[in-house]
Amino acid sequence: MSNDTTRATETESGRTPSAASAAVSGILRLLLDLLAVSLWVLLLTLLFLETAWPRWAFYALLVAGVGVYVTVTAAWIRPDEN
Amino acid sequence: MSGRHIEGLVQRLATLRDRLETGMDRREFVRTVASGGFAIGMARWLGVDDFLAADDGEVPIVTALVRDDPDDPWTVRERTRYVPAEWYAAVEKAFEVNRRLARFAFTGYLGSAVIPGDYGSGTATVSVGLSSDGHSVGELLGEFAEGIDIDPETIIDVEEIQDGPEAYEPRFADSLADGSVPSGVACETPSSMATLGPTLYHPDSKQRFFVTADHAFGGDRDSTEDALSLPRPDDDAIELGDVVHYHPVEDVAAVEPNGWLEPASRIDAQSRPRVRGQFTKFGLADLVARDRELEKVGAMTGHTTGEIQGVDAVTCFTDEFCRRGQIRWGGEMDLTDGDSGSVSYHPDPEGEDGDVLVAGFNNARTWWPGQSYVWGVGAYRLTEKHGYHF
Repeated sequence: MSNDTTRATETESGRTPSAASAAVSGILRLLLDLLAVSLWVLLLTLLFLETAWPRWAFYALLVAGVGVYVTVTAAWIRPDEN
Repeated sequence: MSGRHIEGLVQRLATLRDRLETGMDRREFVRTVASGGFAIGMARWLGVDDFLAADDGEVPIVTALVRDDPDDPWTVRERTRYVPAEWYAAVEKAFEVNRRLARFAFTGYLGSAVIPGDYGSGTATVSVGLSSDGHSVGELLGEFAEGIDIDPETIIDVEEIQDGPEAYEPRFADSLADGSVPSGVACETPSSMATLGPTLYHPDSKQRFFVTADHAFGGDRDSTEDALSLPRPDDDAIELGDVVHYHPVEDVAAVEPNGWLEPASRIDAQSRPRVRGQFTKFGLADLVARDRELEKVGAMTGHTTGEIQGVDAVTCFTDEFCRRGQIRWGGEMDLTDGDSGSVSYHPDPEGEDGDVLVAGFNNARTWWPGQSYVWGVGAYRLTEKHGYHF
């Protein structure tokens, strides 16, 4: 939630973002994605270690979670860019 | 959270559906694929497949280190197997009890070994050798050993070493045409005769060694007595090389080849077994649970087979120190002077026909009444301590 507000202030301060700042924000976004996905994998792994659920459920939840994450975050980002 | 923030969030969520309806654009698609790939890659790296494939109540254990390519000793890979969790817990606890006993090393303690039960029973026993009835091992361990059977055995007359009848003819290496010497043939040190083991590899230096028992080189030695040679029935002995590493605790001596002969990952038995790797500690426990036997080829007694009597054993019968990580198997008739340095092995269940995995060395045997087995350091112990592998 908090990164939303920072992103909003970033765009306010620089209305015409340069290529460098675009690259920086792109890398930041990538790292954020990797962090979120890593946490999701870790959470699922711990969950499945506790339970004896099947393998297909693990991969289904893994991919579905990534899909939902991308869709939701993309929806937040889009209005800022347009 | 501030009220304004929540307001903004609610607004975003309210318009979420509209935005979702516009569909996924190319960038999102790429992001999903990339993140999904990363997620699956990370899950694989964490090894989730190992426990996901296990049934309820089962756990994976690493049973062996096996070469992918039999001709390339540096392609070692772990082999896993799923075993009942209850059995695993009992055996792991028995290992821990055994470790504690070895650390206490109380007066009268001569050694101990773990004897895993079968998979159905889900139990394990620790057999403890005592020189007198003075101690109650159960009391000593207190509640710690709860759930583990302790089997105290009183051993008498350990001091007397009886030499068995010496009616054996040593087995000599017959064909040296391919320039390599298999395991199970006689080798000669300046002071005695022993059995040659299969090639011992060291992954750090990428070296190959001839290997035999350290005690075959005698107690007090100087640098002129490091040579290992290959005796032949009608000819002069051929020099194999000089010892570069003595490991007295494990009772292993690594010899660097310096002649035209090279060590081989083969065993000189009728079926010409090829050594493809080695068992781990739990791999040996698995063999006990499934009632499997070990085999060996000694230069004196030749090919014999026998049941495993204990794994991760501690023996304090010889020398002033205790030896750990030993295997007890077979009977005392399976080993005599000159068989030291031979290896015990078992067929590789998933390998090609004739592939075997090494369990450990055979370096000594019981000579007192009441117990009958051969013992020697487990291959896994040698790997843990010094990095070598078969």
